[in-house]
Amino acid sequence: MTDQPDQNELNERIAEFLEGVEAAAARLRTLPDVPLVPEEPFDPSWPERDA
Amino acid sequence: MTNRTWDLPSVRELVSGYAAGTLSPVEVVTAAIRAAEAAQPNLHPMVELRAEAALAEAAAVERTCRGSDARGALCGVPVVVKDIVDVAGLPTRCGSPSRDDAPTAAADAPAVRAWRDAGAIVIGKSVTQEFAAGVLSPPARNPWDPDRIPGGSSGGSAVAVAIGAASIGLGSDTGGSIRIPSAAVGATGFKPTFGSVSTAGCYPLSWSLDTVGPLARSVDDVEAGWRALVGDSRFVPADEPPTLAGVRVGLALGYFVTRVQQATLSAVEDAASALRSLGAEVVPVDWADSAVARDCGYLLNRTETGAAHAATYRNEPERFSRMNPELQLRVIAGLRIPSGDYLLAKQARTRLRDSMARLFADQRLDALLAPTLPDVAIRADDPTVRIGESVESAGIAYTRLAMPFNATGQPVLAFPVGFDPAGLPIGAQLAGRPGNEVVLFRVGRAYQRATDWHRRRPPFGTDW
Repeated sequence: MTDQPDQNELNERIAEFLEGVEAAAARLRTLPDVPLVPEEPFDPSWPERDA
Repeated sequence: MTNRTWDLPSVRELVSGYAAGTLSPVEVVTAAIRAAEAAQPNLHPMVELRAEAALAEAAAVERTCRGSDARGALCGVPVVVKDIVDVAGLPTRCGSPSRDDAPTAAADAPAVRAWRDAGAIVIGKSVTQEFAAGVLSPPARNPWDPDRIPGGSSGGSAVAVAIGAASIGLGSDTGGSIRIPSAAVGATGFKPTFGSVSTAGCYPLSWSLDTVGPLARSVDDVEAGWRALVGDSRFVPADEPPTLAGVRVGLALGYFVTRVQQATLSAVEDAASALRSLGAEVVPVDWADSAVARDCGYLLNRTETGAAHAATYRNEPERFSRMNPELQLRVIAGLRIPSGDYLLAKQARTRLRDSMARLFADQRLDALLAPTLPDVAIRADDPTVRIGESVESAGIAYTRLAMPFNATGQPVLAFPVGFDPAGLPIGAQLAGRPGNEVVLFRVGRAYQRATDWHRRRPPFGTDW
């Protein structure tokens, strides 16, 4: 078994992690024209007009 | 091939040398294994060698390839496979104590099978950062300075090719894990277009981003590995025009030159000048969505890493407790990412892909050149990147310039473009259009014909 993080420290680091996630999500929300439904699966090929 | 400074011939030289009888697959594979064994105490590139089986396969190649025109493009070529990818008969331990009891894989992953079908000889499994989730790749070390990391997560494959223990290493790239170690050890690596190479038989890190691709010492050898992965049995072209007339390359500014060491900036600018000298048109470009693309990749990566290990976390606590505490944290926290944020990243990805496509169309680009890492390989005992007043963890700093291209899904070639004053390699990356990988190889090959960075050999691991 590896060294286990202290629970308080773990909670602090999870909170820090989630703050980073929220910051990233907030920047993503600034993008205009984001489609309502994601492609599933993601298709990396470019639209014909740009290819 | 003993007791001298070892240098593995190129893939082209090996295959033609075997056919002509001037090289012996048994001798080459023996020397590659010996290189791996000699490096293991200090550089630890390998998890497991399959010496006996590889030598038996080399002997078979020696019997069938000599004088034959029917040889595969990787006939008798020694390769290593990152230990998150299945190789029949070996366990896939993923660099994790939680998989110490992993069973042997029943079959090769399709990527490994493709290489074997082309004639490659797997000499062993290479070190990966635990479950490919990180950039340090312990216990592997950098052959340019064993006190430094080799980058990751495909660090073992990068070290193996750098020291001549393999012609090509199989790696995976979810947030830069092929390109990062390529830059750190002075190797060449290629992240294929997302979805173009099967990731079956590879332990997932983030399935929306995971790609499998080759690392090697040169563009030629990387292209040979890539062609075999996508089922293209042709040999790497030897008759390309030496100039890059008609090729237009964007030099990425803005995000890609912010918080980057001066030596790296200078080396990438020099690379751009070299491309100009070869006839390419190089224009400065600033992709406004770079930072957001990194955010998109980060959200997808962190959410899916949590999901990939959720069952172990919930159902097998003892096994989960054997994982590195940092990875445990990433899984536990990743499972708490709001589903709306994950869906936002999935939705935004299409927008970012189209944004990159418009940049290429508006600027009439064939490729986009940028630094791979903000700094050279860092010390293993201090895994932070310091640039000016900025201090970042290696995991954040090393993926900062690489991950935007995982979000877009486009192909990226990484190659060495110089050394810093301390003699550590500097890498650049060249992103291209999905499905038009060959332009990247053409540009990279022309650059490597005009420069010798990729021919320089590290001081550790090559003298035995």
